[in-house]
Amino acid sequence: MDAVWQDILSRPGIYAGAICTIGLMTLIYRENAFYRFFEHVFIGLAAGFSIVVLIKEILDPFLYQPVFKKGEWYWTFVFMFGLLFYFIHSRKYNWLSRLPIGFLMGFSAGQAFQGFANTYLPQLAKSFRPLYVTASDGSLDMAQSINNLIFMIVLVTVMSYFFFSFEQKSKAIRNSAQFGRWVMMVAFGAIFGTTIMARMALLFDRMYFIFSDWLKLVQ
Amino acid sequence: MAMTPKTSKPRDLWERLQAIDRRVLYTLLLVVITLPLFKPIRLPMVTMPSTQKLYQAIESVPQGGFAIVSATWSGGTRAENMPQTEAILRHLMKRRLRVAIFSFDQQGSQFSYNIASRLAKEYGYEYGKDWVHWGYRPIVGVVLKSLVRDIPSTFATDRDGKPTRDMPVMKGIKDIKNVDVIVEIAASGIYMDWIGLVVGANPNLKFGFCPTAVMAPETYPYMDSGQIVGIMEGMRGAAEYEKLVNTTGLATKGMGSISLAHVLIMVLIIIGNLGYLATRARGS
Repeated sequence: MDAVWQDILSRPGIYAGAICTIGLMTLIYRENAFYRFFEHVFIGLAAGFSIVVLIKEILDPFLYQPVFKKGEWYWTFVFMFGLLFYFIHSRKYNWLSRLPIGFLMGFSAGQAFQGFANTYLPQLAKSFRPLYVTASDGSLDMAQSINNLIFMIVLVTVMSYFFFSFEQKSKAIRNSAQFGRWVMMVAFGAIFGTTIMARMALLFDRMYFIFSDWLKLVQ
Repeated sequence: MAMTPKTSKPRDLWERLQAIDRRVLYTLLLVVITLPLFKPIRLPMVTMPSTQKLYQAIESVPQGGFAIVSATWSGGTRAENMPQTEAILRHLMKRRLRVAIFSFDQQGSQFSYNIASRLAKEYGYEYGKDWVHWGYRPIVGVVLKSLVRDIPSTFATDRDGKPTRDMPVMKGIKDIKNVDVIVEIAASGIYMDWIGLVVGANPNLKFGFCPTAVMAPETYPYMDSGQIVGIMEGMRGAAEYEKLVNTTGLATKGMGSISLAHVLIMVLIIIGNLGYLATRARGS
């Protein structure tokens, strides 16, 4: 018994993590008070953690240290400008909160414009691909040509599915849209498959933690 | 495959196959995930081209080149992002590149520092000379825009508040043009910010992305267009990368469990659908 207590005291974090993991996994059986307790522990921890991060990682290095330790007093104005957000709770002065909101909107819009251009224009350029690809010796690169053909068919058919501005009366457009829909289903299937893989990885990590880090039954 | 409805009991085997108690399914899942921990299953692993491309991109950087690793993940995705971080840092240190690490997530900052400190001892990396940890940085857009123009000012101090400007690891690093490779390890769509604000600013920059498996499919078009040089997809990608850098980490250990779990899920999907088809055929 002494050995167990000694083990608990030597690595309390591991024991706490193991108990929390088991507590949360009891939901698999059914909803219960044990699970609820640990759920609230996690919510409380997350809330407390975010407050500590705010003070220690943002207010201290970006406000307190520059203003009070380095004498860069002008940062105070930025802080006060940010505080204007809180006037959103005042009926009389809530217009003041629109100043920082407007500033951030302008900043975000400009950034989004730059981001859009850099993200999607290269994509557009790369969408124009030759269907007859030649290798370095001038011969036909069959594999790449087929790849490009598949790419073009998928691109066109998926785009045709999103022709919502007019009724799709033409049979060719309807069939193309139908094929595009199937292609998208394949993509959604791939996303769902990788989602399962990710969830299994999380479960494996917890089991590894229980049996290796906590119980030390496996290496 | 839902829990048995309380209102109507399944009448025969085919209906029962569609209504297996979820507790039975979860127990089976726990068993197949846990079993390979005690009896490891080593399956042959084929490296995906996306993982290989990321590896090759880092291999092509000359020794002493400058790499930035952003570890924007937290405990919730530790299973996938931790082995990814370890595999990437291991490769960078093996290649003797200068490494700078930071994170847009406070937890990711701490996790990545712990991993890097451990690997630094293994590879004889000296802090400040061979690697540096810039710590946690809030507000993605501001940091990335600033990083493009002026790296020493953007990361004026490291995670402990020490000035970075005079550290040997930062020698010759002024802006994004001096950076050879950036690897983002994330559980979010932050790669879009990197591509939108940073990648185009240096045509020679190699940008690699290590997402969770959930996110991987949506990132492939960016690899196809060359905006991302390579992708390490979740835990499977990490296992492939571990193989490339000749190490056995958590990801490699997990592949047996994950493969078995996938087989179980496929079998359950087939059983459920067989039950559904049989019931429908009988009804018609």
